[in-house]
Amino acid sequence: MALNFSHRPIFPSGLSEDNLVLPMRMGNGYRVEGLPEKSGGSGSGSGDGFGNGWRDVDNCSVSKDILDLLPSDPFGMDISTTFTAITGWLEDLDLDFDYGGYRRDEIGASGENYPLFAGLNFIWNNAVRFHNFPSQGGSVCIDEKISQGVSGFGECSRREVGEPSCSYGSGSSCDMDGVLGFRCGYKDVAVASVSGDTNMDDVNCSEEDERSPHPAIALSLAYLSLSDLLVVERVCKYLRNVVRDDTLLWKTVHVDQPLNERITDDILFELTRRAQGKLLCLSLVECTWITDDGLRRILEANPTIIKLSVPGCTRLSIEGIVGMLKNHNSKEGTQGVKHLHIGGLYGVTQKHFEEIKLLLEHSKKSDLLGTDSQLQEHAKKSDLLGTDGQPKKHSHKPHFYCRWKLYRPFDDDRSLDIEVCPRCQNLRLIYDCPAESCQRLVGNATQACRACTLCIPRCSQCGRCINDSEYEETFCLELLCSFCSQPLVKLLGRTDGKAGLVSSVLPEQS
Amino acid sequence: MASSSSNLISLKTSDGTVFKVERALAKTMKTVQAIIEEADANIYMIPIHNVFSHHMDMIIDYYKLSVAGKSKEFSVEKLDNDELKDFLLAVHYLNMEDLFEVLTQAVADRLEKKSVGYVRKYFGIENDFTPEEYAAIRKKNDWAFKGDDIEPEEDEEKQEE
Repeated sequence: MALNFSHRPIFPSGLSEDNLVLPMRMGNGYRVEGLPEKSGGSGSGSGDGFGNGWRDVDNCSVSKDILDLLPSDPFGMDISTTFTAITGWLEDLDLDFDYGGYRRDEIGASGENYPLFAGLNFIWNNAVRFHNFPSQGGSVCIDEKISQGVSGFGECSRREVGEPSCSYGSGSSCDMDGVLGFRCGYKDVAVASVSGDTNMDDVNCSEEDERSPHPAIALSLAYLSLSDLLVVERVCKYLRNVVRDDTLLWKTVHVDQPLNERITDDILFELTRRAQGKLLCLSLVECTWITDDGLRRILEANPTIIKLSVPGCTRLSIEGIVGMLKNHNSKEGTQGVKHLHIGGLYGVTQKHFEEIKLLLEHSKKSDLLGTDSQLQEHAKKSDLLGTDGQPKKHSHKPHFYCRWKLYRPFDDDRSLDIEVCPRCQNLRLIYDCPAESCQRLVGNATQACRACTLCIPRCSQCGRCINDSEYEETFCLELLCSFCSQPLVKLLGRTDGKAGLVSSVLPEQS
Repeated sequence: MASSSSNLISLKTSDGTVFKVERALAKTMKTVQAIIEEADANIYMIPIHNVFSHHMDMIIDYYKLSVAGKSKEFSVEKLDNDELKDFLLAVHYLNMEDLFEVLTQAVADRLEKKSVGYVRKYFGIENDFTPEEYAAIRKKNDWAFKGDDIEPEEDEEKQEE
């Protein structure tokens, strides 16, 4: 277990949105998103290696050269303030531009930010032309129609960001219920981008080779996991801006392997900030660096959270979670958390359990999502609500034990994942049994093969109970039933059994 | 020839092939449906630009599978990357929600755990970052790439430039 609990925050949580100029500090080796970067090539020799562009601009005498006045990264997190600044100095340059050609009514699901995004794309392209980029053959201009259409989806509903699968520990493709609303938004905007015309055609793009991103990538962003999104962010400027600026991509944040081992409070906060206060679902699977304070900060900044899943986040305390839940659900204007996954957390008592159940039930009965139609749509598509806007009631799917799927899947509809174990009465994750003989006993509560793993040991591969049967204990101290251990025994037999396999055979009871 | 009284709708693809599809299938294409609804007179034939005959073949295959409840059997694995991208755009143009989801998921699956260089190559995107910008963006989310195989490929691509 890591001993270093201290994570010096890179910046205070209550950062003023008007403050574009922020001290460039290192914290945990990570930069804070949204900090302006220096343009050009100088300033890279400082101790932290990040350059001191803004400090130079602030502290030194102001250069009259336009290159020094223009910021290299106008698209910091602070979109509105940045836009004002950009339009301000572009107007000073007597630049004649007109992006009034964008028609909002062409965009199905856009909001008031669409013209801003469209204008930003236009202004960015113009600003880029003033920089003397070293010739590298890269594209400078973005296909205006595509940028116009895709930038507008900032107001459309979103997808789920996460690892390939929303099931815990799984590496398969994403089970993106949260995407559906986003997909609707994508279609509306993309159709508009195909049909709408623009005054951007008047822009004289750079003479350099212009290659716009293939439109298919914009349509697929919704289905990418968190790590893939971060890869796409590095592909080109256009995609970087899209990934950072589209709040809908960040309404659901799912962190799983391998990022869960690296993500810290500050990094997570920065990622969730991209939702601009409209984060809906947060799923952190075995994110062992996340602390109570970090999670609390996110909840405070996002009153719209309705699903919180933190299984295996061992630095979180159950008292902290209960306190956060009370605080969050009692605030006015918050929908309240309706689904909580805390499997793998230690020290959950009956009292905690009762309190949590009460809080979740209470929040479900409260007015759901208000009049925010986009959130309602998103939650419905995320399978959290029925078509009538009420919490959906599903029949619970059996949950089988597996080393890769220890926790309930993200799309599980239960309000709380842990239960009282029928055998030991402790509050833990309960597993069903896939064995045929045990399936017949499902209806019988006393005899059903359904308990925590301490009461009923299970095979790590298939989830079968191994109480009374032959099993193998692997070098990793996992248990394998006789069906699953056969291939392993054969393999080890070929290598003269050097893997240190310990076999235990229990006499079969009649 | 009035199509409103018939159960078949005639669709003409970009390459001039005419497909007669069931009205139910045409209804899944919201673009086509909108054209039918907005037309004052009965439509004889609906041209669908950006859609080729091989796209329509696959769309009809998907429709048949989904009607039979076997939509999960529909696979695009046989398509190469460019064909998949073009098919996605065609389906997007026709505004077919279900098939669109399948295809966007398929594209995302093909990008899963791929490097930056691969994504650029896949979509034909050129790197327009300045070295400083790229260094900055790398440092910003370097935490996500530590110890992964992604970086070496990226470095190789940069060395080629």
